[in-house]
Amino acid sequence: MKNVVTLLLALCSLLFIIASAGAAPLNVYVAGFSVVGGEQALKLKEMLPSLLASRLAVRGLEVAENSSQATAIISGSYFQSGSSFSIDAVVKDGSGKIRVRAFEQGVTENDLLLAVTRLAAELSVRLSAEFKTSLAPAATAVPLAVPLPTVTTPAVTAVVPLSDIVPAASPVAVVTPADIVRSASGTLSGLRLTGAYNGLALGRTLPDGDREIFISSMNVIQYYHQGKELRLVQEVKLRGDERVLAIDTFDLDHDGVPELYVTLVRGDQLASQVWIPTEKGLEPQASNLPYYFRVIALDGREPRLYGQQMATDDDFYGGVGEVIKTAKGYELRNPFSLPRFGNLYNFNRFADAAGKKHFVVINGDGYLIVSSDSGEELWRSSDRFGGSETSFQRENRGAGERLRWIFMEQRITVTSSGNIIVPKNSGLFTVGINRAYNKNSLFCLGWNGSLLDEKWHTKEIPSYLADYLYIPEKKELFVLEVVKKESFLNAGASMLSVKKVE
Amino acid sequence: MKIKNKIMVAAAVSALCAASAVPAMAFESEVHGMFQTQGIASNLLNGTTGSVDVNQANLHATKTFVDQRVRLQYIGKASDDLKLVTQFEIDGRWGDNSYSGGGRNNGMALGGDSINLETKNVYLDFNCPITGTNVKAGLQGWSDAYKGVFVGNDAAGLTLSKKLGSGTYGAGFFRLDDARAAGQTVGKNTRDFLYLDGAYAISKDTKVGASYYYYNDDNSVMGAGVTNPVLWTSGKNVAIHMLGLNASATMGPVTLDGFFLYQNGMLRGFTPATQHQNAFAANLGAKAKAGVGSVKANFLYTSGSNNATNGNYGSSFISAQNETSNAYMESGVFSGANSVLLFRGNGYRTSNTDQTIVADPSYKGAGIMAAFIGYDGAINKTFFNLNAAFVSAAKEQADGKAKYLGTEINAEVGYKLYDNLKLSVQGAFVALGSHFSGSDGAEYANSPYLGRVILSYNF
Repeated sequence: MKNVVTLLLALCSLLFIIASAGAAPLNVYVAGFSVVGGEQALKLKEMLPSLLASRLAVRGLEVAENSSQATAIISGSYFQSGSSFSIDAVVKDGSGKIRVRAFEQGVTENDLLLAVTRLAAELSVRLSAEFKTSLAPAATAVPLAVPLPTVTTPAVTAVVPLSDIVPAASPVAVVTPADIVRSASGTLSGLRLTGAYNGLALGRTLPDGDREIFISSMNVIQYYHQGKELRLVQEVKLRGDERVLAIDTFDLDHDGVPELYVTLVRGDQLASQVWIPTEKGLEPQASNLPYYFRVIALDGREPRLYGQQMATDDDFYGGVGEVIKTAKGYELRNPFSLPRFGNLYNFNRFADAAGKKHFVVINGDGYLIVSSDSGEELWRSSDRFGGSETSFQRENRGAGERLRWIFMEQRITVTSSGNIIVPKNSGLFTVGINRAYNKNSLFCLGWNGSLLDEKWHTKEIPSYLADYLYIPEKKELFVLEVVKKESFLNAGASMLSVKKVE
Repeated sequence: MKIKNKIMVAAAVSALCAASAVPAMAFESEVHGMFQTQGIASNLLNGTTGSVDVNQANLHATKTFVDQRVRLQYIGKASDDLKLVTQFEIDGRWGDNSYSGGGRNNGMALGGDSINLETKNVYLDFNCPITGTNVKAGLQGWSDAYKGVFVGNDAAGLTLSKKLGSGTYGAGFFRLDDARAAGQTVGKNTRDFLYLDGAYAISKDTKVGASYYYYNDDNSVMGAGVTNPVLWTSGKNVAIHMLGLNASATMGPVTLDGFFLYQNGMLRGFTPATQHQNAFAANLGAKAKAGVGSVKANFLYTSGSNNATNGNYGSSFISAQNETSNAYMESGVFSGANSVLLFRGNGYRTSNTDQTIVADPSYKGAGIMAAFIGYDGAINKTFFNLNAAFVSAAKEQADGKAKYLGTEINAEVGYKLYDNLKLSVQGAFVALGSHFSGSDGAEYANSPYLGRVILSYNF
């Protein structure tokens, strides 16, 4: 028995030693920085290593006094052009092999300290992963990505814009492809589909782990199961005079099976449809409905199905209401008015730090406009966002141009943390009815009390983003892009992909 | 205060609004436009615009034309509430002339190089920051609330519109002509038009509207320079008050609309005496979804005088036509019409070689009674329409000619090569009515027809 106890004590000691060895902080040495640009180049050259070293130490890394004592050696450069700057760091191991590269940038010199802090945060995370080393207990007590308080008192925001700090803690908040645009493991990565599609919706995750995916083109709806590969379950061809404007899924009847809501026009009138996915395929539930449909998570809360109507002369008539199912069919409940330029497809609502609700709308020119709930415009972007090639035409009853074009708009997503995700399509000439987008990026913006400040954006992709969905529980963007435009003799091509963003 | 002075005060207030609407924002440019070219074969058209005579010599010869038109719209936008809108046009008939130093609709012959830029629109469009009223000041496109039966054209003026609840209200002033004839005093011998429009949406699918229009022409000439539909020669003074009602309602798949526009005017300077005018135009239209498209029908009646050929226009509905050019038919064409050769609607006013037998809704003062029926449809990228038009003069004239002008059948089928590039072919045939029988001494051996290929790009 005594031997057994001795053996157990020996084993525990051994485990403790191994565990202690595993928990040893990584030893790093911060070598010099080269500095190009800026009025105080010499001072920066001297200070940057010190600034970075102290921040790495706070995050649990042991900073060595010379390179011979270090497992990893950090060197870097500082480049300034105008008031913008970039700090780039390179980490090498003892053999001189580059193990990690990272950078941070800022718009003004005032951002320098924050940029160094962000760089230290990113390096500490990536170094621990690269060298398989845990951080010291003292450091792990400080969560790496803990959101700082979002209270924006004037005294604080005047000195340190909190919006600069909060997103930066995210290790994927920069615009390097490797960091921000990652394909989540086990999901889609650049899956090419024949045809130029315009709508995307996700259904259930089935018992076998497959995910239901719906995509639409002008008058086709496709129902897929996505497991290890994408399997087409059914393709529904609509009438030749029907044109799909949007698709969404929502479990309105709470039976556990989200229905597919297809907003479409027949000629120039709404004739929307509802389909139910079954084992055999899609079964029609309702048709010829005079509603536009869209699932929106107002204020970043639970998504709900909203609708709006069309009138003889008004393309979007009345307020936006929650869709309910009655014995007679479908109705809109509790309609509410939108601010100027708003319609079902170009708006969302978020709450600021004080809980006040604000509408965000993409206007006809593509500018994001934030309005108070009383309709007062609080801010508008200087860049264009959104942009859709999906359109339909209606007849003008009076004289003048016989037809008018109505363009749809991209989804604006409000996350549970109050951030706003919005795509940005751009191209050579994208004004009016000539829409030919060929580049896209997705932006995450946060309201800092005065304006929508960028948190991150995805790498610019040379394609037209037709539709996207944000999956909050996975922090993923499910993106449908048109990579080859449809033309007279070819059907075009699209791409489905998943982008991990946080 | 005289009405003209009041108008000037209103214009000054609007200018003040415009000045205070200027925000400190960057100027943003927006460009739109269209390009269209068409190859035409027809025995009725003769390569120009306006009305066309029906005569045997003309109908005997099949002519072929190719014309083209480009429109370029530039909008300089200071903000959502303030923009300058301009639109220009270059058009001509292939082979018309070249190296021309000035003049519209030319420059398509060997060498090109003509000065042929036309200005369609130049106006300031802004929302008054005080009242929220939308103001447009300058040369702009405007149409009446009566499918353009009185006026639907480009004109210089000031328009105001404001939405209040379910109602939309508008008012405006246009100076259609000023000292048109030689020797007249600028600002004194004018042709002016004032309007008040109101529309109220009873529900999302039902709308009613009412209007008051006032038209005053100090030196009226209807159809100057045009050989056919000359209503009267110059020097007349025409003042007309108009009251109108219009409505539209959608019931399931069917949309009904219609209007009644009454005219009460004084026609001075006529021989033998001043005429008191009582006239009207009425319309009933319907559109119903059917199959892959919709059936459309329109009935139009404009009152006429039974002695218009002798200068009596007391019962003739009068529209605001161009009095300064041969492009007589650009105005006052009924948008509900679907015919190509008999009576042209907006959908078929396509280029600078458009001509029709009936060039204005009054049809030389005799009035019009017309029915239009058609079917528009689309299957994927293919679109088509098939139409029939039945057109008669409203009143028989002293010359004893029969009223019925003709029956037209036309059809078009096209394909969208891209969303905004369309290629189509169209054919139209008119069975002339008894009105034209023997009018130039012989029964017509040939019926008017047209065939054309149209390539159209919008952006």
